[in-house]
Amino acid sequence: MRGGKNLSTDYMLTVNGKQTEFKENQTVRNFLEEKGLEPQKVVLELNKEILSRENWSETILQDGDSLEIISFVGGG
Amino acid sequence: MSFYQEIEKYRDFDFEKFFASVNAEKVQKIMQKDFLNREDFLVLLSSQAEDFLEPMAQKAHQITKQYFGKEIGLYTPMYLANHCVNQCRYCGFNAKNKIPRQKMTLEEVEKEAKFISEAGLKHILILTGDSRLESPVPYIIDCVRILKKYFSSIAIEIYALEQAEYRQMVEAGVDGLTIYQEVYDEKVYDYVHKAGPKKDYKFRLDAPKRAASVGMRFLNVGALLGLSDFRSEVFFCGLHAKYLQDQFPESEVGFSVPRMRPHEGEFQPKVIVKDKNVVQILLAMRLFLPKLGINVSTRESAEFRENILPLGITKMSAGSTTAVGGHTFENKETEQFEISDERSVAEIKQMLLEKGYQPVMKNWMRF
Amino acid sequence: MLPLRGISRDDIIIKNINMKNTLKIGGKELKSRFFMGTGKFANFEEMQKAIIASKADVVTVAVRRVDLDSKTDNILDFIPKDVVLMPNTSGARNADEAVRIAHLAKAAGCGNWIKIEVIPDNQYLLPDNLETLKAIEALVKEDFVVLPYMNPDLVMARRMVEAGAVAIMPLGAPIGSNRGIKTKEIVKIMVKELSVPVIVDAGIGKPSEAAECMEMGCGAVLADTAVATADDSVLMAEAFAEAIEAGRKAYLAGTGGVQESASASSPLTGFLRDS
Repeated sequence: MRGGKNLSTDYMLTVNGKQTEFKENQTVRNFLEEKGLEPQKVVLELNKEILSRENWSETILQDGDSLEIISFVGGG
Repeated sequence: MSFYQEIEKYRDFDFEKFFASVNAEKVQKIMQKDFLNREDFLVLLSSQAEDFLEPMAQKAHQITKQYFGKEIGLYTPMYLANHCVNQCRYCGFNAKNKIPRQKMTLEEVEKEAKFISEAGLKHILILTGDSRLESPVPYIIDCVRILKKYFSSIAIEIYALEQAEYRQMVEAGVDGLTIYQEVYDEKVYDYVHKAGPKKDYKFRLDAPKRAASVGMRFLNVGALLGLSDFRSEVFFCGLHAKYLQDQFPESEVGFSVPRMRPHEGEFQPKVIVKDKNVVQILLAMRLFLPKLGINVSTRESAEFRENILPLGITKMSAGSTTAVGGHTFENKETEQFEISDERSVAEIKQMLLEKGYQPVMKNWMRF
Repeated sequence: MLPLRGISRDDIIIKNINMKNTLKIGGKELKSRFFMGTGKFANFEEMQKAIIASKADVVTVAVRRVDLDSKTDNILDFIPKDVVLMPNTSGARNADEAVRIAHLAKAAGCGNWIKIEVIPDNQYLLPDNLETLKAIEALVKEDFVVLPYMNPDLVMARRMVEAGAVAIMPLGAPIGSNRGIKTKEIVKIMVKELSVPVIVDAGIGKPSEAAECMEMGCGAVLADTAVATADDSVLMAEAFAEAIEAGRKAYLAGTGGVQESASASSPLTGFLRDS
């Protein structure tokens, strides 16, 4: 638990290097939808391992997880 | 991959038809190119290209200066033995020729080495006939151990060896291999090599490859001009040199233009290769392979050697004899072939200096 | 089209060019030899128009973290579906990072092409050939179609080809510098010696420079900054496409050499008498 924060119901994970809250028992897919991301356009790395798309619905986020959300951008 | 597979690609190639298609325009176009491909090389070997020898010479001269400067490496051959089991129709050492057979003792090798090195030469090419019985690998290695004291670079021109034997040679201090295929046309090869282990065309063809793959630093190939149509022969020899350059970028590949000389024995040249032809060969080779070492031996006359110096030559032999113990034996016996340029090392050095070239006695030292 | 004794002009040109003109990489036949980058465009709409105008068959993209705070459109929505997508590993400073980025790119489900780009140097943006080689070795084993961006060096390029690179992408000048093909002499040697296509990447600032690369025998040219930062990027994309095609045709046609200045030196073959 994060010191200073008062809510025992708050769960925190690191998303793209930033501390972010999530709900208990929240799936990865649900988390992405909540953030307004279209699942087919991004790639995920959960704790440095690529998480394939078919596993998003059944993967439950854990406190202290590190999630990288990646997509394509312009480049040469 | 063996170079034989490269030769196979030309099995059905119609050289006559190709040469018939060459015209002046084609030659001129090639003269403008930075890099020549195989086809360009063959065009430059055509009889039509003979009309362009002067522009080819100017370009070859430029390229040679650019890659090699004005240096000419000097070396001399040393015949250790003339025992031979082969029956090569063109060679004075042919097993059937009734000539005295000799082999230097290690003491004699040392004496000869001392004599040669006193003239300042540091690169030596040792030769034997093809006799594993009389001149076995251990004997040659014993000679190399002695020669190492006097010379900074030792090349061998002996029968084709197995890879492990080349490794032994390299470990003993040999850094160069000269082995001419003599003739790339397999049928002619089979005919002129009447009998003996040298009959094995493919084994000889891959000898430079076997040597390079165990670290032989200098590789020298050549076709004996006069045995078959020289244009296609030189074409294959050029491809062979290129193949070795490509496969073994760490080795230096050289090429020689041995022209058949009168010798003991009944077989005389089948094709007469004129001076003009030798010049064309040198030029085409230089333009095709800018970094190729080109050697000219004392088979050629003093005058001709001087004339072709600026055309791409990088190395020449000096003070040569082709007889066993030719420098120090009381009774010099049969030579493998006649020497044309009989000048001494000092005279050759003087000639080079006068022509604006630097004679280089040593440009390599083994570790 | 006016018939020309029964043959149309198009027949001649198309027949001439088709024979040797397809570029085959990673089992794909590419009609265009222009590889387009997608960085630095003013917006995705413009980029889309430029890609279409370029007729490019291969388009590069980069892989980045999503910015959760400011929603942007997704670039993939603006890239024509029929092109080969070639993600690069930009941002990687060593082989491990390049491999990680390649894995992410593949997981996105847009094919298995990858342009390896390992740049530890932020000042000049010059690549690390050694780390690039290591990344090639790792990714070829995983069936990626690997195209390395590299500092032109024949020996290293040979090693990369041995390791399984399907093409070699030497830089013409530092990334984004628009200086043209400054590495010409080395690239020429690479074109001559390598058994895979040489694709000049980075530094090409003008269509004429792209044409020059193609005249030298390069397999393709990749351009990004030069197109994206032009006042009219769509027109510039078209200009590059035409220049690359023209250069390729010139290469196939065989350029007439430059006449060297007449040599004033004395004849070298005067000693040959007719005999």
